[in-house]
Amino acid sequence: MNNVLKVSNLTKTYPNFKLVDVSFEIKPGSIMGFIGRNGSGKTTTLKSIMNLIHYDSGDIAAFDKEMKDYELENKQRIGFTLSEIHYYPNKTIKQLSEVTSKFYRNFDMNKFKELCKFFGLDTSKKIEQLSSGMKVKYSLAIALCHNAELLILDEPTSGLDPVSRDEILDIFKQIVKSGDKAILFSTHITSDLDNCASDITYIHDGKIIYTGKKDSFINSYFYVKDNSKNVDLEKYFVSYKINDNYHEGIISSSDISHFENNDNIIIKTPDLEQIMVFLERKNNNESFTL
Amino acid sequence: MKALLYKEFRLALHPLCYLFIILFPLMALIPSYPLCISFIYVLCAYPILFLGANKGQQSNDLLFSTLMPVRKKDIVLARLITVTILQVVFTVLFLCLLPFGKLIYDSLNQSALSSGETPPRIPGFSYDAAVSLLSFAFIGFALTDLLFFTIYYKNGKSIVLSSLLSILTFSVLVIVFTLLLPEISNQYKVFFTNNLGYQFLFLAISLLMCGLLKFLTYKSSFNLLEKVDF
Repeated sequence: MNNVLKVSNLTKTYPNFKLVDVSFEIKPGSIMGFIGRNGSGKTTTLKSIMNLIHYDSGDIAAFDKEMKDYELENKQRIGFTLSEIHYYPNKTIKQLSEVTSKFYRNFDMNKFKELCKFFGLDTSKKIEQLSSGMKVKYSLAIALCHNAELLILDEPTSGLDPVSRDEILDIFKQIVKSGDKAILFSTHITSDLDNCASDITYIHDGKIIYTGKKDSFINSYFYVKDNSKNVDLEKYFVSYKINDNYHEGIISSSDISHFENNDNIIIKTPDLEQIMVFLERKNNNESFTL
Repeated sequence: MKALLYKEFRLALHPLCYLFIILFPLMALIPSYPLCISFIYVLCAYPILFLGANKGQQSNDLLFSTLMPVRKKDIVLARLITVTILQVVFTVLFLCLLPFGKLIYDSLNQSALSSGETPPRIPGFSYDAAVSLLSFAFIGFALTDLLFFTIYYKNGKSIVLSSLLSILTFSVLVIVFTLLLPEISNQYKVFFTNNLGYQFLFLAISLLMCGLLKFLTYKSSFNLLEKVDF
């Protein structure tokens, strides 16, 4: 199996939004962060993968099999959760998992009970009584118990406190450790990806800006803070912000020579958040006056 | 399919649905109550079932099913089977209670006659037309299923509109049937008396029509569901 998931030229048009030629692929053993602003097309893409949306064109294959032709077979191997959407809130974990287990060939109820113990989930609790973190853990337990090889999670860390987020991200790392599973999760919290994701796909306004190794993406930029506010250097910025005492922004790593050996300039490796913030500023040309 | 049906009874069917199906057949015991109206109460269970238990849309019942490794047409079929089971259970209970209703009616009439009073105002055909009533119920159920399912599965959301239209349709059917009933009753004095052959022929035709309408409901509903974007 070459790819756990391959999305090629996915296009979907809504009256006010368009997903254009979205393409990316995920290899086994990887965690891919799917980043972008709210409304950039992350959920639409994930829903398209699960055939919840009828896309206009493109191909989606999971485990080297077209989703459209092998939907049921592939769904047996995929665990999927949608952000903030939960099912039968007034039912208990036990009731819901018993029903869910009937749908999957390989559902291991003993493993589920063990995982519930491990995650601290009380199976007699109703879904509505679970905290956001517990709900994510429950979804993960379900996915792991039917031996899902691909987890597709829409904003799983959204609304979680830092400790719960850290716990969830640690669990992600453990899941892919064996090398045969992969995780695709969307988020707009880029710090989630800093110590967890191996790959990222960055979507902006329905178009993919980057897909590939996270480190390559980060290494292709430098963060620069120019205390001299040198206007001649502005042209080298990919995107920048003018503050009272300094300019700051990101530059392409190929332009680093223009900024080196200058005491007024601080150059750092950016984190994902800095890259995303500046790229979004660049791409967002609209302005308004208060 | 088994898993979907298990889900229907374990998660989607709210206890109120069971309560409706078990309690409303008791209407067969009310003297002079127009029997065909009783069947309308099966429709009360529909919105509750389609909303998926008492958390309403929050249950995300249809999305839950769609995300499972099952075909969309099986999702519709499982729901149609569930609804049909409710209808059959209701009808069986109703029919079981009908003789007791007649017993109450007869004893009330008898006691009124013996004491020289005017008998209770109960049209005689209420119980005579039991087999016709059954034919009416099957066609009524199938027609309302067609309406409810096709409106609901157009977007997976329109519970209010589908409930409203199916109840209205059933009400119109009740009116038409009530108007026709004396005519039917006069021509074929029935309920295990005479002309049973004709009565059961009507029943067979109505069952056939019911089957065809249910098949149409299934086909058009899953075609509609296939087009829904979640």
